[in-house]
Amino acid sequence: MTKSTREEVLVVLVASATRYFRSRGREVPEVGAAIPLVPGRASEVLLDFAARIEISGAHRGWAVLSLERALAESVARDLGAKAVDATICGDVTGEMANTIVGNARRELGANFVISVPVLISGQLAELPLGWGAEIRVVAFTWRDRRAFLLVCLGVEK
Amino acid sequence: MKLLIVDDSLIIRQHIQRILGAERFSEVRLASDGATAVTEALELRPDVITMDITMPHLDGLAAVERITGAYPRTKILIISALADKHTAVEAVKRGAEGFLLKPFTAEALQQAFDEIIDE
Repeated sequence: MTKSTREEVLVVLVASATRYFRSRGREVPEVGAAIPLVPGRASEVLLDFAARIEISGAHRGWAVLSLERALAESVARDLGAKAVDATICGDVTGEMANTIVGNARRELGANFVISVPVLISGQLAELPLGWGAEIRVVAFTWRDRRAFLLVCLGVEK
Repeated sequence: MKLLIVDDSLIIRQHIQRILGAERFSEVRLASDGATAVTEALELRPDVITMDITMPHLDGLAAVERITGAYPRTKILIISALADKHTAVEAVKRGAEGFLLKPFTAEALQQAFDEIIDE
């Protein structure tokens, strides 16, 4: 398999996130364009809960899924949770991030290596930039609630 | 029949337990990482295990290898988000009997579970 470009990886991840939302019911997510994250404005896209997954192998970088609390609660209820607290919302966010990024290996192959999800608290310092990369942000609206997918991949060698 | 459910997500462990139901099992245990899964499996000797792959401490593929090395008759259903063919093939090579991709429906889980039980 030839290595995908950063743009191709982003397209695959956005498609995977869209598929995830569609898999949860009949509601179709609205998907925004991928735009660069403006420095200093990370707090606007890091919502109530966020989980980061490190990417290695053929690519180096990370992906973050950020959810409004009501969206995390909605998915938790879909999964049968009766009492939904912050712990469950964080758990749901991590699981969704893992599923969305893990499903991308269908197109990107086994050399798209991913870590376990790590919950982050919305601090800019927890979104490391490097490798000459920029952060791209894609907004989703689903069940009238917001989510953001942030993707940061290093420059191809 | 004894069941071990392994996933690092609490809500997924509970979801799987709810779908499969407690009444058909004599004992159900839960584990949140691969290392704990191996410890629990060696103690419980489960008939069936549902196993995630991407987990802390020890991943699910390594856990499958250790468990089937000790108890080859244990049936293991992988339930993972990793959607590439290589991972599914590797899981079977290490002793898993089935593979279910996340996100899954209750019907898909029930069917995949019944298939490995019926084998």
